[in-house]
Amino acid sequence: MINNYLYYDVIIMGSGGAGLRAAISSAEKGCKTVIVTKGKINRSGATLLAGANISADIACDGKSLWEMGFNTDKDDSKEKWFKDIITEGFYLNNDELVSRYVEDAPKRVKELIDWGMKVNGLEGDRAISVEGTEILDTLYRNAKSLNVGFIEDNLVSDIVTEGNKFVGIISIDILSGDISFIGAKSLVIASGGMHFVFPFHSGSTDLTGDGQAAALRAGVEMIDMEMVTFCPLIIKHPLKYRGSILPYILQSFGYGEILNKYGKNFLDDVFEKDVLYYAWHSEWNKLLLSYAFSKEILNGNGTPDGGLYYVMSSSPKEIYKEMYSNWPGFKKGVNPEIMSILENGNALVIAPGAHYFEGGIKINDKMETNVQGIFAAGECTGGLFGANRVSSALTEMLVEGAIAGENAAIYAKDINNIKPDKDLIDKYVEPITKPFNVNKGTNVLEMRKYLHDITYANLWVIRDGEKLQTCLSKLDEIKNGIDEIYIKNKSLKYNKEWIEYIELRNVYYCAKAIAKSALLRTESRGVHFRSDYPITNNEEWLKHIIIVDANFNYRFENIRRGISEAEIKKLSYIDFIRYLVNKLT
Amino acid sequence: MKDLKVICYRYDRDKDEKPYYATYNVPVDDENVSVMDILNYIYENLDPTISYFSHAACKQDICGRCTVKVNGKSVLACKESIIGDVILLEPVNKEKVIKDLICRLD
Repeated sequence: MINNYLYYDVIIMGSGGAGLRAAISSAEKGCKTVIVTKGKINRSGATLLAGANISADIACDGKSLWEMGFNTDKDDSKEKWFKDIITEGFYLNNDELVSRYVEDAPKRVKELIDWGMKVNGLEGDRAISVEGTEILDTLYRNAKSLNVGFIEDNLVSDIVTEGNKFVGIISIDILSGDISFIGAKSLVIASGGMHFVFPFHSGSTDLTGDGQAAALRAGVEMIDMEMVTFCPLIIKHPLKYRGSILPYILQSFGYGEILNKYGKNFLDDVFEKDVLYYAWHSEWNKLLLSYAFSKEILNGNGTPDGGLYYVMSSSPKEIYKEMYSNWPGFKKGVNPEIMSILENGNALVIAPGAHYFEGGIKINDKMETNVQGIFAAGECTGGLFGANRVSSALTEMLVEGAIAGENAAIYAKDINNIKPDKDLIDKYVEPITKPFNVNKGTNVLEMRKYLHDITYANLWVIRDGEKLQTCLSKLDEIKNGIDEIYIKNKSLKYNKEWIEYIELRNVYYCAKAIAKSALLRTESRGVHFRSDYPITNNEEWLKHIIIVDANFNYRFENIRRGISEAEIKKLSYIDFIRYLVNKLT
Repeated sequence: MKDLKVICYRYDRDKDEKPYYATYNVPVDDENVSVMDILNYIYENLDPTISYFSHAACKQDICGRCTVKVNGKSVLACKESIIGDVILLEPVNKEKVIKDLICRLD
């Protein structure tokens, strides 16, 4: 059943910023390195769509940026920035990861600039503004010059381990249907987010949690899985632009307004004046607005398709003119079409959608997981941002990618490739090819729709114990269905049903880990809001929830740093946000 | 609401002696619908065996990978809006077809 056997020193799974940066570090150490990616090397993954490719921010402390020649506050410091990230993360952050993040950020920013990345300017006091494609192209040029191998359009279905040790991966060429075993000494998982757990999100179509799910099945632990950031203003309608965060970018620049189905502004009724100010003008807008919008929609005041209206109807032509000259990205891609809807006085239907995953693969400050030879970097990892990411995911991918690639290469130096026997490989291939031998059962498309209905109804922004219980028991039904899935198409070549089956299997593991962790956390903290526990409880919940295996067993891990920081024991959700915002430097 | 007639090139080298054209009727109730949306509708509701680029698509005219020929012209499926009542969908290079609208392009 295996068409090809290939061997390398280091495999990198994923070709966004984290994967490319890891490949550069690994190749620089002299390792034979290959990137296996689901899409095209520099045109897939989440990096591509960062900031709607208008303004993506790479964060760094103000002093370091000032030293690089930017007009930032030279009195800022890494220490202040560190403290703010912990505050923004509601104390749930892994402080060792935050230390590496603030320490290495200037090096990563500077090297990209030295490598020729075009910078558009500053975004706020602690970030430069770039386009996602600029980052990818800059990293890709470097990886190519270091002779990194590229295997594109390949879906990694499984990570093969023997004992507690990495052996290789099983990879499917989506175009031909060929299945390969790719052996290596170490692996860096850089597969991005788990967006496809939810029916409505801001990601590209490849973000189906393949790395997290394969890792979990290989015995790698997951952390903080309940923490999912929803972006409040993602386009839901028109269908053509669904998933675009353009209205969010507009809103965060200060443009436009949001109306309910009666054409009314409702935010004044949800928040008191000071909190309303944070919702509009601070980087905390994602969680505050997602909470407010979800509440309004659940109260029955949304549009028929479950959204709200975003309008710029009172903006005169001059405003658009100035905006386009400041931000040329609004004139690129499909953005002009979206802008013309607003310019003509019409509304976009927007809603909160899954956007960023704080939780993921558990790593230490060397980006090692608990399985020997498996490293991870970027959005697929968890722990850095705690319960709420305010700072930059692009800095995360660059910093973690560089460390993971280096350590994967160092690890690879001392060991030999393991050539697995056929029985071991067959164990992995059997489930992925099973649907070709099944002639009746639930169709994969019905199963996807069912799963999405469940996550939308039960695992969305506003959660409660009852919904989460429902979610878990229905996910078990889905697991049974996936094991007996039916696909009509039996061709191996670009078989969409087959690919979706493998992705859906991964989505199941991610969804269950998220739901299980969300049920366990009986409080509200950061992006995790429980209507049955609307209190942030520092007395009991300054701890991580860790999913330890593919049977979803779990354990808790206390947070050192958070416990020493937290002065307050218990506070209502909004009051605790108010308290934290006032503690920022 | 209108009925869009979609004529689509189909070819599976393993199974079909030669390429053929399949016809699908797709209800369209919105002026902002892309070729990608139409293909998704066909896959989800009419024929799950159809192959078109969708596994790592940005859907926002950035990745540039969902190229198809619409009425003889190469365009991005995610960007191209539907105009008229009939559309013809073909792969960008019939010599390099893997299956249906999918080509292996280097």
